[in-house]
Amino acid sequence: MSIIVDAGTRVVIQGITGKFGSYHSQLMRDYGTKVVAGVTPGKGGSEVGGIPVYDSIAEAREEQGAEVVAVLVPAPFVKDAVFEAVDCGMRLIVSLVEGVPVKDTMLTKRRLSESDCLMIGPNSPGIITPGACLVGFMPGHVYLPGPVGVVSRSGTFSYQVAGELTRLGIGQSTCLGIGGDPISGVSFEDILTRFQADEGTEAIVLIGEIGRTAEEEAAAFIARHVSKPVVSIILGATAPPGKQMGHAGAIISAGRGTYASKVAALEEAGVPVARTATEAAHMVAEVLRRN
Amino acid sequence: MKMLEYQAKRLLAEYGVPVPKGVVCRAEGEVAAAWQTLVEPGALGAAPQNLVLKAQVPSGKRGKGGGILVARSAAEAREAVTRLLASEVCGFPVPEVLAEQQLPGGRELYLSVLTGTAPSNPRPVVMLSAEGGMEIEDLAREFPDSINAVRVDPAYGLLPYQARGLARRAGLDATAQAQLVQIIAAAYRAYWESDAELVEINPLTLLPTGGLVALDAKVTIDNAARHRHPELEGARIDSVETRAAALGLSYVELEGDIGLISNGAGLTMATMDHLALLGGRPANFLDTGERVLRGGIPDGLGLLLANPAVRVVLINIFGGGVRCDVIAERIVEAVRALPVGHIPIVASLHGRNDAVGQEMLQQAALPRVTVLPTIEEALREAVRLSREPAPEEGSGR
Repeated sequence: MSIIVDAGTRVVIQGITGKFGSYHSQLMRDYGTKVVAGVTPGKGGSEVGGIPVYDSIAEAREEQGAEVVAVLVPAPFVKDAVFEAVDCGMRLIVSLVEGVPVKDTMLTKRRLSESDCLMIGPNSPGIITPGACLVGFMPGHVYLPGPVGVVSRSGTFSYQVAGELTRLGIGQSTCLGIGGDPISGVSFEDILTRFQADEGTEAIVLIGEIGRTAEEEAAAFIARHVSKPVVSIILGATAPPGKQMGHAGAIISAGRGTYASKVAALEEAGVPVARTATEAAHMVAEVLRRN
Repeated sequence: MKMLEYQAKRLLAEYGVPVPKGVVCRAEGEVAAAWQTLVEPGALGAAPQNLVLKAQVPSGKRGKGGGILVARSAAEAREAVTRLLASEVCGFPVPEVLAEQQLPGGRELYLSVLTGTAPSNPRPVVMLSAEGGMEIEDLAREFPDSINAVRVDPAYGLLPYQARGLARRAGLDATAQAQLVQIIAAAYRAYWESDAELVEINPLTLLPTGGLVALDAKVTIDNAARHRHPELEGARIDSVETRAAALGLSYVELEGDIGLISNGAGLTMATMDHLALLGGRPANFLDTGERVLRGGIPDGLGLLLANPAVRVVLINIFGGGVRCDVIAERIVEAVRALPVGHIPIVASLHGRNDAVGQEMLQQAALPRVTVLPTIEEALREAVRLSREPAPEEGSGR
């Protein structure tokens, strides 16, 4: 079992004819994802590695039954791509590109609030249900099907955590990154709700980082609504305040978003906080053994 | 991008926010003309006028840092500008000084527009405080009841009733209140149309003659939206961080001795944290981001080698979209091209094609490079090497 994507998910790639788009479409397809179409305005009728290209999302949906959009267009065009996907009634948008203007994301979230469409990202590494479907950048071979859900703000570090779990023989139900920008589509709470409801998920790993207050809010949510065991790790214990640590959202400002505040909130909610990826994987092994 | 005070005021003035008359001086020779424009009889009535000279640096603490001087004569003004241009204020050089008419003091308000990032409902927030002149954090602590805020629906923008509702609570007379409504609307438009993260007018001062004036202003523009605003200028800060940013790298200098190159903000922070747990001290945060295949490794290594505190370099890459065999090639090229000298390099490559990448690095047999199979081993080795006694002087980089 899994959340959000599975072996039947039909994906269209927005920006498939770009270098980035064609490279990643191929990797997703190699992993087994049903990449059924691509979209690049003006390139309709062509093909990329055997994948048919359309001028619009509406055509890709009509002709190929696409329901999920992976957005791989350059950042200045992401807003238009996402609005098009929402207006066509797509079920899920995975917004993978870094550097989307915050105002665009604000307007996008406003538009999404009027629809049932879900957006992961922007600046997300994507989502993977091991052995079934990859929509994003994850290195597929480090993942293994199994019972642990992983939700993260970071990309590359979440690969490492999945890799550590796999090394212990512990597989994952679904892993996804909500994105490193100041504003994200789906929140930790949205994902925790789905993991809690998913029969295939027995334990959850939450990977947070300094800046914003998403982890504090997730902790409060876990205390009230999540009965499955959660293990967490917060990145940036050694980050100095006032400096942006790569991600636009990873900055401690005016005393908010500190490592200590996040760890305190999680521990108060009964969520153990690991200090390294290896430690997190061992904590998961322990909670699975106990359950 | 942080704008300097005069740049922020220029932007706000275009939207109709009243600002003091000012002239930017970049050399001592420009002060006499500024004095003439701003202070000579006729410029602002008959009353004797002073000039305020303000160092243009991107710091909110420049008043305390000696960056604001008052001059009562042309000679004093020249002396003050000369002094400021030659000084450092809050750690920044001062290439520009804003000369402004000194206005008579009055009641001070605080006004800002910023991007509220509550995950469930991110919206622009307009904040007005009937008290001003101190940092918003201090206002929130000392006068929490003075602060009112409205959240704006980004699809419709700030509505007039919202601006009126804020202005009504500032305790002003009818004329000033009407002017405040205009200023709030102007600040919001400046924020929205410039893709700002923050527009802050503090203090917004009520002059004894009745008008409101923005005595100081801060504007920060969303870096991701700069391509839409070629007309906007910001502070040009020359630091290792901004030089790295120009190369497309996120870099923050820290106080340790283990130079770090990694990809992805989270992985980079995780590596720093883990090094600290093992007793090591990271010298920097360096996330190559998507530059990892295009210049990220050689440019990053160049930055680290230029930091005399660095005693060992750790390259920790987890390839998602990127392939470790290509990363290995980049590392080999960079190490061969750069003056690595006696600095040992520890590499850890994981993710896509990791076995091939690790093998390629081993095969290259670079004398200073160690490749280790797990991240933990690589980190331990980097910490160990950082504690080794330094080689003798002159064995050189």
